[in-house]
Amino acid sequence: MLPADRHATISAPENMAALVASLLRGEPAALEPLTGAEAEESFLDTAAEHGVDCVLRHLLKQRGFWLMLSPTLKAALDTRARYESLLEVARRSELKRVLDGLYEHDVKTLILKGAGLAYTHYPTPYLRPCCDVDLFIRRDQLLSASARLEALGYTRMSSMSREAVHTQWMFELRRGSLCYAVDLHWAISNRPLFARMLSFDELAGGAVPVPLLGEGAATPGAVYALLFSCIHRVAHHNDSHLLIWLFDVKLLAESLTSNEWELFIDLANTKRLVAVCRETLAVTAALLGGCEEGLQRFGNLVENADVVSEASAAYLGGVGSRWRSLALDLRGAAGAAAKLRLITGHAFPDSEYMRQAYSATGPLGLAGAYVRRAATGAWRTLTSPVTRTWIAR
Amino acid sequence: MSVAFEDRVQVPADVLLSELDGEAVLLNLKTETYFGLDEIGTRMWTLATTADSIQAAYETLKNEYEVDPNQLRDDLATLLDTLLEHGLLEVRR
Repeated sequence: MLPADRHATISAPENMAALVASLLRGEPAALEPLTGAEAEESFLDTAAEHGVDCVLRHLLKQRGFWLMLSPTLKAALDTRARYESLLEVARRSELKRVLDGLYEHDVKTLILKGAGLAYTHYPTPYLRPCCDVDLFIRRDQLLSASARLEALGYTRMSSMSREAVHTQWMFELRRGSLCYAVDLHWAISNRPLFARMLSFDELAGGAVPVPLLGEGAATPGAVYALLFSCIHRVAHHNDSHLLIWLFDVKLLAESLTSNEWELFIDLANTKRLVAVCRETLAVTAALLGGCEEGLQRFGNLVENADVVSEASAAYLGGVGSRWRSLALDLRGAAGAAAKLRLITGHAFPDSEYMRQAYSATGPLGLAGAYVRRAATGAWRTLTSPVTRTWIAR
Repeated sequence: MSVAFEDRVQVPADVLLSELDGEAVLLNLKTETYFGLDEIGTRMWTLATTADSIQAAYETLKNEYEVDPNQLRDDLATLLDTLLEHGLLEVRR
């Protein structure tokens, strides 16, 4: 193969992601085809898009592969690391202010996902970049938490806070070019099937403190954090293979003791998440290595008919079209009332959302916004592949 | 602005510091000025912001590094002037 062809081949995004994953696994041979400015740029873009550029730099240095990189790559990764380390200092200072503010007003919080794992499972926090902070709270503390965040200078993003279909409120604070985003969650997922799988109290029971973030700062323990990581990428992100999420899984899996693995498998079984968890571990093992113990322990469980029929398994491989997504959510919603609430929530969002999303003012503007939404929805329904197939019959 | 060696300097409230591989990165959140310091620059910055005066920091540095005292004095003054100019340090009265 000519070098130019080889270059073109590795520049394809999926191949570049595979190359980044090889390096994360500790295979320096993956660096060999990385020649030329275009390939290097594509490599850096991919590592950044997957959120692993800083952790990759750290591992390359730790494993003695750093000197194999070109000066351009080294300089670019150094710049990213400096930038992320600064951002982390800013983020930490702001997150501590938020958590202290909520704690002082008796709002109990749990830091979910990367913002917590950065302080419990990564060698240094800046290695785990986060765009936002996800805080889990009890539903009955939503209003007091919201009021507290607003008192701290945050603004609620109404257009992203539709209560009938979302289980989170999003807040932002802008300071210069820095934007701090905090999501308040009162359930672990917007998707009805997953929403109640882990309650606040269940996660709080095994939570671990995060002293760097203040007196009241806590994040779910490793078992629940791993369970949540498995759910999150499947339920929220279409079975995404984003490397930083898989790296979270790898670090969490490596940290579990034998007893914790037993608890994890037991929870996956009880909550009918065996296929989702097993698949997440398998993808992580394939791309980043590790997870052998977990996969071994799941053993033949996945062949079990009960596991194959798990409702959560339907989300593996992505939910596909918006119609299938809605159908899955309707199936996951427990009871007729919940199903009806979901349908009306999609068809007729609350007025606050409509005002913001459609820039509608006054009663007439609001009515017009609902008409526009209904017309657009009807047109989409009529022109959707599902409808066209049905008409063709 | 030129720094006086009898002055004391401090880190402004809006400045963040991050240390990475022995080097420091300073960020002024107000002006969004970003400044990297190498190992020696980081040591100068640390001493200058913790000593009773810049003169005291200079004396400590003179004992730590085998360097021409006049050269050290010039380098320290240049660094601190630059940081003051970009709002990454402020004189404490």
